[in-house]
Amino acid sequence: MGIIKTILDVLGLDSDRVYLTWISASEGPQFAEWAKRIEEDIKKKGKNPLGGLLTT
Amino acid sequence: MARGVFREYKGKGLEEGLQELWRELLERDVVQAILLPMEVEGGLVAPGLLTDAARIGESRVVSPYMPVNTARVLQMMTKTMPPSEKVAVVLCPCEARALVELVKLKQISQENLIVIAFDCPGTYAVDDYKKLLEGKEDPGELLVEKVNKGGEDAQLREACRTCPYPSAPWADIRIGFLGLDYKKRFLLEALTEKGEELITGLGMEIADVPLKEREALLDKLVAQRKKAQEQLLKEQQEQLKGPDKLLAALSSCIRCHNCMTVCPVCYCKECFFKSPTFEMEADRYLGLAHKRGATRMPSDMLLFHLTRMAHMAHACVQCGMCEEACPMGVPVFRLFKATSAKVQDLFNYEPGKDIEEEIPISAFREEELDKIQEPKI
Amino acid sequence: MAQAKEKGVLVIGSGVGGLKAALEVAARGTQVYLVDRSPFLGGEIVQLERQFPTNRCCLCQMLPTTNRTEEGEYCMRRDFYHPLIELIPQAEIVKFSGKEGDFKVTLRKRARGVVEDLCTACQRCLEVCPEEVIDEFNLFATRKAISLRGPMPVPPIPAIDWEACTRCGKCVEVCPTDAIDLKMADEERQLQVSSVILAPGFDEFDPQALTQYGYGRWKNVVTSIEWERIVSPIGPLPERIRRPSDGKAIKKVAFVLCVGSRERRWDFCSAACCMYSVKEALLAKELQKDLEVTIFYMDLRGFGKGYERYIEQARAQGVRFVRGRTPRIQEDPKTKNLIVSTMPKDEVVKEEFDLCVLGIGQRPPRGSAELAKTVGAELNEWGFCKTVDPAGIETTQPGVYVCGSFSEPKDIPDTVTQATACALQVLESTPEKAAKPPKETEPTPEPTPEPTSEEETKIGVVLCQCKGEVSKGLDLKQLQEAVGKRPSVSAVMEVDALCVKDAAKGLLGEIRKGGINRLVVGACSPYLFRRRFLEGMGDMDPWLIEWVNLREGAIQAHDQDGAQEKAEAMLLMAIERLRRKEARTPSASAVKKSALVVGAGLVGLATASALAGRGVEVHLVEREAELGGMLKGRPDKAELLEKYIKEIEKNSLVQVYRKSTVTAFRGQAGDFWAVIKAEDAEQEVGVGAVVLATGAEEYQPTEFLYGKNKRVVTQRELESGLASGDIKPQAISSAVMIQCVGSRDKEHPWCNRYCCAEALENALLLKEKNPELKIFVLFKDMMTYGFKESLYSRAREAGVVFIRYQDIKEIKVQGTDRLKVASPEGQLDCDLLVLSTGEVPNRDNAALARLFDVERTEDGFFKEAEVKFRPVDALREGIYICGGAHSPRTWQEVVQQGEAAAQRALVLLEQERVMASSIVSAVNERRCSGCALCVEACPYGARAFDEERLVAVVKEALCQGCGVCSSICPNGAAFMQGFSEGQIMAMIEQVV
Repeated sequence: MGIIKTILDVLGLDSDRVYLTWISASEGPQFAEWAKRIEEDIKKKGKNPLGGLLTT
Repeated sequence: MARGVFREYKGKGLEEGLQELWRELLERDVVQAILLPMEVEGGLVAPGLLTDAARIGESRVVSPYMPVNTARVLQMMTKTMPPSEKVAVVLCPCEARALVELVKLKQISQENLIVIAFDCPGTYAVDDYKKLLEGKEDPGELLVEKVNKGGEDAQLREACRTCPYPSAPWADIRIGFLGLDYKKRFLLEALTEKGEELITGLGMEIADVPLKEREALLDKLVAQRKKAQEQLLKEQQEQLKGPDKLLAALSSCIRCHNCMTVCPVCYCKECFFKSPTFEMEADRYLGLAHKRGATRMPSDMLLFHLTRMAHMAHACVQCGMCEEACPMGVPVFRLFKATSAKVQDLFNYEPGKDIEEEIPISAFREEELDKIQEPKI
Repeated sequence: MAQAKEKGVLVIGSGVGGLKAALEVAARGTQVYLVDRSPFLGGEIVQLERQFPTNRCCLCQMLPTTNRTEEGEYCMRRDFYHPLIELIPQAEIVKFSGKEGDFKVTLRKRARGVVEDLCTACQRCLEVCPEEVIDEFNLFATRKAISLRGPMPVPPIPAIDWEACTRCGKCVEVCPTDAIDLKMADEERQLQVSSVILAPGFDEFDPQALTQYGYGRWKNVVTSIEWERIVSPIGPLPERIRRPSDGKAIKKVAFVLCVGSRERRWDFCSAACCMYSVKEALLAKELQKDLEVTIFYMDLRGFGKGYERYIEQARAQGVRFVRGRTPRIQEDPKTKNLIVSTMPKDEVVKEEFDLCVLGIGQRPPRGSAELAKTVGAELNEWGFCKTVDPAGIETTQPGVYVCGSFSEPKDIPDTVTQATACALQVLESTPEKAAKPPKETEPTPEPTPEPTSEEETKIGVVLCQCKGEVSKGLDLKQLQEAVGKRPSVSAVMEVDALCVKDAAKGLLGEIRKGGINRLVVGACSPYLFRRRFLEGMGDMDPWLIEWVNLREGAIQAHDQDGAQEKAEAMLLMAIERLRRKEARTPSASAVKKSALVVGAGLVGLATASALAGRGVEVHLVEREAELGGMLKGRPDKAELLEKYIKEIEKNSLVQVYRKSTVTAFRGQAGDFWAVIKAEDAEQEVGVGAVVLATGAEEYQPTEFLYGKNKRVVTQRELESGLASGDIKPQAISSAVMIQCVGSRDKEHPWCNRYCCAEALENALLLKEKNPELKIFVLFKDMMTYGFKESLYSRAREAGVVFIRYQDIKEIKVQGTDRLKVASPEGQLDCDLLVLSTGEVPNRDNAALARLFDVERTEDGFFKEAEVKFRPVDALREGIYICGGAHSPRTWQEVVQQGEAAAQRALVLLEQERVMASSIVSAVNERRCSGCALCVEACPYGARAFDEERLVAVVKEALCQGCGVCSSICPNGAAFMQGFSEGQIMAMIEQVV
């Protein structure tokens, strides 16, 4: 994860679109909370800037 | 200060002085073969495995040209079975560093190998080197002289101009001629037991040698290179960052995989990107196209480079062979240099520095890289 | 899985002890009836999310680790399953007769009010029920009269609380399957069992009895279990770490320990409260870094393995520890803050806190007195179960055993160890089993792998309407169309409800007719009814059935459009994954029915004797010429040793190797190979399991004139001296004992568990022989956990003077004939100085760890697979650790641990072969570069490097399917079966 985030940062590809957190099996609400947070985050960020490009 | 010995030589130039050393190694049977740069037909240089002392004259260690990273050759040679005879391998610092990484990955066997790393003032790209060969004087000796006087050659490959390792951090033996009276003598420095055996095998005695001037020159050179490196990283951030600039730079890539083939630390037997996973059926490409409206063929070019970076960034020795091999002018080296510098900072890991050090990705720490994680909720 | 061989075993109580005992008995092929009074399984542990000292859950580590498929791969917080364990909730024993080996038991099963076979767990009844009562799971919240306990209880079927229910019938109206029956009557059930294990656990002490703490009056005084819920991610309050009175954030919290323990009325220590309080403090600080935590304690009893370091960790994180009993807690009526009075020295100190946590002790559970009476087992003076054997497992009623806190208050590792040992004893008393001759190694035929059929993949998609629940929330027509045209899908079927018993059977005909060989099932959470469905599916391989959670995962989580989109995406992903799944061919290796026991001290002897007694051939290797280890030559333990040595010598299955060591070792669980080297000979042996009982060494003191003055002795020397008469109490006028010599210091940060009790016993003995004798005990914390506490009380009553020191360096000893001991409370003169020395790891441990490829703790003892739930297993499967090699403990605990190790070994050795589980990693050898990164990375030692072929290889029986290897492998040469990159990529493509 550290490697991937660093690489994306250096290349200017939005590393905030990659998330890592530990959630135990007993922490269902946390899991749901993260799913919501990530969804909100991504909606705020908008579409993947690479999504519409030909060369990827 | 170092443990080693000065080797005085008489005569014409450093190359000949070194050739005497190779001859002696073979004649005294300290080693039975030497892998070192040799002049090939047409005047260029390539690694050669030398066993006959009579052909010592063809060796070209000082020549400032590097066609392949020799660590790659050693992987090929020793992975399945180490040599049965003793072989000295003569490497420039980035080759020695790549060797260290490959030893850690069980791709090179150290058995019967003696690693000799020589000082490297830098190398030229093949076209530049060919032009230099047309001149009267030996480009190698010229470069050594220039660097020894504190100068730097702007024509050197970018990888070399930004390389902070003119002297290898690990080897059995280090050969030094920077910051020394190189026209008369060079330094044989033993860093390991094997190295000490080689020197004593030549009938020489190891002592503590003071190296004030050499250290001062190397420090200065490294500082200079680090400055150039900073400049390069800055330029990368200005010119190659963000989806538009990055993809513009990569757009000429034809996915020939040359960069991967020459990379010394990209060690996989069969690349993931040449595996059936990427032999997709037409329908899956169509699925991609449907989702995006259109897709470039073959696809996954960015993914290829990102994956290679993810796998290699911690071990990248920044030799720049990738960019030399690129037929399409993709700034592969710049991108790798920039990402790997940051990744190596992250783990506080210098590839090639210490053969005993653990590879950061396989070392498990209970508490690490807190910043990467999202906070707990 | 094997069929039950004999009469079953009855286990009362399904907390940690009961679960472990049941799993261990079942693992050896005996039917278990697991009975709990509660409608739901699990006991207290379900309310505790994480445990010390790992701060993780790890409950599933109790599950079988070899030959596990369905019974080994699930989360124990939401499921419990073993083919040989029948779960009987809401039941109690009403009649009990017969004798050991043949008991007749009548159970009364209280009416649940919900027919289990009809309920679809849709929880609509919970929504409409108007009655609210305090939720015993989340404590500050309420639940309905028809309810579940916690989010995913086992079983997932609601139960009616008849006391709260008004019979209004709203739930009956809303139930889609008519599963609720308000007139349901209690049932009786007869069982015939060979033996009974009592594991009813404990009750928490109710601190309302202690009015000085104001519990019940001051809202911000809570019990430790309430605090567990306050900091829980699924706790009762909208935000974590808020106080109950006003929901305000908490800045300062106090833990007050020994509430309801260690008093005249309750003269025992609850053994777990010190450590769980430290854990609760640490977990809270993890969530809220600036939380100020103070723990008020009397003695800090971190006597377990690794606990001392855990306490150090808490100190380093800023947890403040203050010694002294807390006489009073008062509330500031304005702020609702609490003023805690403590007596660290002789005067009262007051300090204000936002919230106060009472570390409440353990009590015998309600109803346990009746239970004991019914089965004819005696209780001790505090109402805990009496035991009659050294391991503390047998009750006064033959054939009835006990484990867990009901025998003595204890923490989880001790409970799990005891429960494991319990299984060994229970199965011994099963007459058929005990009488059985050593098993013939009749080779059953190797399981032939399924013929790798070339037949075409035909996927059937089954959509469960869930009695209208799913068909209402989703457009199933549209889903049918969307999945129906996917490649390989040959049929889409809709059914009314899959969970209804035998629903699968009707389906089976259709599946067979259509030649369907793989299934995607869209229904509810797989934790609910997947297994019931599989039971009806005949020989269809569960590996080729993908389960998609449409009800909870789509309908309940999203609005209508979102649910439809997600349902389709999940089904398409499942189809893609299933389509690309390779038929599995699990590997199996035969198990050798013999064991290697290394070390013939007390624990080695106990283990070897237990194993040989059950027909296992044992190779017992001892470094010395004489057996007995640390106990040999001690007159007080001679009888004990003699008993085991005799047992071993008369059993022809035990081969003893004296003056021998193991010099080479390799292999895997069930099939190890070792070389045993004696003085003049070497022998190779093949064994299925290994028990490391290599012991520890006594700490050799150099301090306090030991060895220089013969008046300075260790506790062991004192014991021997008293037994032999060399030390005469009458000749001594005063004695000083120093505790923790060579333990609990910087170099030896662990407690030895036994020296405090030993010192007290010796002090009492001296006092008994010579009441005039003055005895001073210099100590740091008195580690008299459980019932040992009464020794401490008796010693004080007998006039032994206890002087606490902070640092052992404060104590100085001088003199020759009459010794002068400088203590924190002035100079003490004595003519006998007794040092309570502990144990240090065996000096060979490093070499042994390398030889057997097991890990060591920071302290140098061998490391168990998981501190709490796998306390005697090494991480390397097939190797078990007990005795001083594991950690220091009392000789009784050592015997119990040896029995636990023997039981664990027997679970493995009684299997015909070790089968790999389905989700294991594999190597694509063509791609493998032989870099061995995966070998380094594998936490279970399940990967090795083949030096000849230069590729990584997988020991499938050891693989736990964690996936670390495949994530570190750069080119996908290491991969997880069932999760290949092709499958994953195809799945991703379906959703993005």
